[in-house]
Amino acid sequence: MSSIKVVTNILKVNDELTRENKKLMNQKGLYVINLMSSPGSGKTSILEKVIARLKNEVKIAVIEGDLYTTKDAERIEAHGVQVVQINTEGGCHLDGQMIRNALSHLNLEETNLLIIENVGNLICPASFELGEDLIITVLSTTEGNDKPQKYPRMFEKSGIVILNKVDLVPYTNFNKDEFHKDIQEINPKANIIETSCVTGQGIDELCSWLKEKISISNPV
Amino acid sequence: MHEAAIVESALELILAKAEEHHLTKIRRITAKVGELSGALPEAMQFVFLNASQGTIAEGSDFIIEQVEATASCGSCDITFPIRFYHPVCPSCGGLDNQVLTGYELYIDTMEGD
Repeated sequence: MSSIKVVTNILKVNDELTRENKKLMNQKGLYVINLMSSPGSGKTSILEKVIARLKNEVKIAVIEGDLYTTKDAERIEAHGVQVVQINTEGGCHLDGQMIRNALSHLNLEETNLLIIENVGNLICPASFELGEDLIITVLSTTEGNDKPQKYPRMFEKSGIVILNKVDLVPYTNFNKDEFHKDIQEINPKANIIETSCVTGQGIDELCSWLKEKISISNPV
Repeated sequence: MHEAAIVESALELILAKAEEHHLTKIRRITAKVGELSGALPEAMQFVFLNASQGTIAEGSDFIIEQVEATASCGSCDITFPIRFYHPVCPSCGGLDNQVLTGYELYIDTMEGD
């Protein structure tokens, strides 16, 4: 019987692929966002608003992660930006290999901002780094303000937490004070932006924030 | 069920290591899994049972040692356990603390013939 000291990170394969992807992303001067949330929080709607606002100033490409359909990719494509669909066929998250395949289908010379819309799921995507510069997690007011406490990892890793559907707050029991307090405890560095895709609230703020970040990573 | 992807990666790693050390049978594997790693030990065990079938790791003891989440406070010079993801210093109530343990997700040792 031999006893072997291994001490190797279990996600080593994903980490290595992600490192390679990151190298390529850096070479091409991409600013990369990993957009995560549970299903139905409004990721794609926010993305549509951001694309419509920024596409004349910033060259945007989108990787759409979804279990089976191409519905979201079709919505994004209608805005005239590059989009690649990844169907995970039941998989609950995107990983380094999937991103590598998707990158090979994009014209990276024609991209400044790459947005990866992850599979709608508050748990699993948080465990797999994709080489992103920024994680944005979206929570919608109809989901309840208990979600950051219940699924802290994703919120803990986020640079921006978007509270979407704020126009619906009067019709829900969402407690904004508790939400802000919980995010402050889980991730004091997170920027919180309140949005509504119906009224357009917060979209300017989000776009200004992103533009500033992109210009830092891609100095003219 | 991202534990499936995690355990498949772990198994890939284990089998490669076994080949490197010319093992023909794996008897015991220990993994360290932190409380904040986002992986559930029970789900990992369940996946391992299935994923290891037909490999030299089939039937081995897959032992998961959970690692408690702790942080240290620079101002108070103390180390304390973290409740969920809230690294709140129990002494001064400060939030800007250094997380020391809890994110572990690695294969520690393996034994075999």
